[in-house]
Amino acid sequence: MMRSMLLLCFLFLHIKATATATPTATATATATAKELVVYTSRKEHLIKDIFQQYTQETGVSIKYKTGSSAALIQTIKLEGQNSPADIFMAVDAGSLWHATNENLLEKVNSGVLKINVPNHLRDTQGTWYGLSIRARTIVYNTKKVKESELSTYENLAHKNWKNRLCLRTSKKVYNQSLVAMLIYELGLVKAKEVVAGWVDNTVEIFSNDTAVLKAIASGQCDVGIVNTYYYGRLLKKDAKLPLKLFWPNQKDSYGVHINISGAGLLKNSKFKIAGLKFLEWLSSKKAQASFAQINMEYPLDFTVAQSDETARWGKFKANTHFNLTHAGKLQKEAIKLMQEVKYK
Amino acid sequence: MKSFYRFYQYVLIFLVIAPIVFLCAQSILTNSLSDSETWRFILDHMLVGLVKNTALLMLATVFLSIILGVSQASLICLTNIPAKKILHILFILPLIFPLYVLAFVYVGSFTYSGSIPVFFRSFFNFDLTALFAIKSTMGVAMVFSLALAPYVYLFLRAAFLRIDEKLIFSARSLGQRPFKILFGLLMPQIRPWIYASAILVALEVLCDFGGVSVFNYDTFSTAIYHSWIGLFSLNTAVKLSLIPGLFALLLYFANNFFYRTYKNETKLSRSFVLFELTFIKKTILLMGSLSYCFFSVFFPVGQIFIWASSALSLELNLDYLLIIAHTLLISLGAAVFIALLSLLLVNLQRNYSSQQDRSITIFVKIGYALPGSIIAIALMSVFSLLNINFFATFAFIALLFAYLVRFFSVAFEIQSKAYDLISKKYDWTSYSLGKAKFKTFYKVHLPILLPTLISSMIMLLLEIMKEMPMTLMLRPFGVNTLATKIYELTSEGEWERASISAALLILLGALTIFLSEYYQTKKNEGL
Repeated sequence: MMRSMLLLCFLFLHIKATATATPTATATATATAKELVVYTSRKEHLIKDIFQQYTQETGVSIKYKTGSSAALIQTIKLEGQNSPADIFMAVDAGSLWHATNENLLEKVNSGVLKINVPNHLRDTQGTWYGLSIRARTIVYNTKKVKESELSTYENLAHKNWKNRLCLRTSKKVYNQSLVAMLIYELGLVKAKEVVAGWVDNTVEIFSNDTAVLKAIASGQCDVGIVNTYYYGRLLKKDAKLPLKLFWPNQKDSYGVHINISGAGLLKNSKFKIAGLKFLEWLSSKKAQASFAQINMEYPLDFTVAQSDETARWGKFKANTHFNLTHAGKLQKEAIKLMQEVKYK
Repeated sequence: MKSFYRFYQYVLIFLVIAPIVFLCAQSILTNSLSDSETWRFILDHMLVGLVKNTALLMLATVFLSIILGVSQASLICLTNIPAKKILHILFILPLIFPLYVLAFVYVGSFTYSGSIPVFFRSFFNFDLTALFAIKSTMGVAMVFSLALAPYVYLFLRAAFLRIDEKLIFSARSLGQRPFKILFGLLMPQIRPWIYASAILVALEVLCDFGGVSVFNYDTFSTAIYHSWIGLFSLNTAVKLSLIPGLFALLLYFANNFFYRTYKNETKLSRSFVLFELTFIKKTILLMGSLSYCFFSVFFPVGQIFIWASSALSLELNLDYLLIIAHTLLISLGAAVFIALLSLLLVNLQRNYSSQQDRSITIFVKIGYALPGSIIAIALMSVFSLLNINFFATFAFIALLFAYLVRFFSVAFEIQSKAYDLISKKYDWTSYSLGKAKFKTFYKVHLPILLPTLISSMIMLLLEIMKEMPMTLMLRPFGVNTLATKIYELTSEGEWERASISAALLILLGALTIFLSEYYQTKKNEGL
């Protein structure tokens, strides 16, 4: 008993000793980094190669931890000063906004980032920057729908589409951002009408975009709203599927809803200069090509070489009017709206 | 020693409860205006629906699982059906499926665009989905009970094996018919086991997040995640997760109450034949069981392997060896650790506990009713107080700790039930021969308990291998397990690629079950 108590005391003292030893590391905020740590909700198979590419070019190795963005934000928060993380990377603007809101991200003033990342794809205060574009657009069954029938997101709420629409769950952040955009563009009342109309027209709600695409291809419904890379992936497996993308809200309207995958520098990073360099590199034309291409997403600058698939889907007008900071700000509002109209 | 028992019990309870209590206190103290707004919103708009949905699903799943489990156990233990060994293994094999994997197999195959309805449409021109919607309460409950029935089966099998044959013989000699014996005589005796397994199933349903989200079926756990991830209010999530937690405590109290009434001490008997089956009945029941196993084992395994093979060239690489090694190392280490801690508690409890002490142990079990990610956050919050570089120093310890909080009750339930069934007479005989308590444990109890100890480790191993949210949050840098890999790929919609990890997870689980069955058979032959 005595011995175990002693052991416990020793263990505790050991913890204390390591605890007091760590703050010295914080003094080296400007030290050159041999290694950067990224906490990312962008998944391993979408980042591994590009991180390796950076290591080969600069000698700085990248360690990463993947997970859901809410869990990673909480981790960073709890680790506080001792957090080993330098960069937070997420696959939607809402999560990045949340990280800013939790005061975890550093305001960055970088000319390179300002040039490479268009205004609407970065935080208004400069805490995070988009690194690739994800377009959420309309997809339709070519056997059952004529292109001329389609026009806007709002139009999908029309009675014409009764029992013809398939949607992904409202619990997915991509839909929350889309509705946030509608609230911003149309106002709360009109946006609610639109979403209620969608729900009214919906045949079934799915847990993922691929399921929505398959439902449309199989004839269960005629149209849906998806992120384009899911479409690309499915068509790679079976090119004969009767599916086609449609770019809504092109004429006299705000354009296609886009979201980003992006990143920001963490306040408690020990290697801020190195971290910033890494962000700048990711936004460079060279890195852009592979960062977006690997998942058939769009590069920040449409003149950068795109993957064959995305090029084939044609050009479109994206909504550049809606700064993605608002996607985060309005997310709660959007969720509440969707809950109220019983969008599950 | 009595004081050591109390000390140990309170330490365990403290370890399990302290992080949760700390997190709750913190969430109350830091409650902001927007948190209150979110809470209000959930109360006003979601709570009623959530309670209804969750209760319906829980009841339906418990009901189906019990029907399945009781029939399976009766078939194996009370009849002379052939191929019992094979059927037994087939009945427990669904334990290898995490709920989310079984869910994605069934949703993937049974929605309108899935292979089965497509088959029906093209060959019979018949829309199967009009007849049966997989994404309904009944659909979810059916899929869940396929995965959870083995728990009921295992509990009930253990109960049947402990029934005194003499009772059956007496009833028979008094001219009672087999069904009357089953329902009039056996059911009251196995009722505590039914309750215990029902609670286990209910809590599994309550805590599941992965499975229900594939169905897009809203329960408490989806609301917990939704209020945290979507509405950015962790405090609301913590508050919400207390509701299922308290509900679980209530269930445990009820169970303790019933179990106390029915406690009995009998030794393991060889299985007896209550129902003599004719050849035709045997054939019908065997066909029935096999077609059930088609849905619970063969179909999902087949589907996963088909998906996995289609992604083999794209996804399979040497990294998977490391992932398998990590999965095994983490789950095996944690399983042995937790099983031993629990063994110490059940042993001390046998020797020193009063009824009051025993009722306190339900607090050790509360972790089983809490969502994994809430436990993980609770632990991180506590560790963050120590002001240390968490992932560099303590990640593995924290992960072990998290598994302890979540799964201690699994080991404890199995072991304490078995321990209670060892007659006190053995202890008294041993004491009278001059053996001390530890010697008695080592020489008398342990040999009897060894199969139970091993089966509790197996259960833990299976649970921990499948566990996803805590592993995801607390794993050390660069460590991936099969479960976290499945999360990574499914959350990007890459079902085929995720199937490779699922297939490997299934293989590991099946291997574990086969090894343990082989060991148990050896053991029985040795007796």
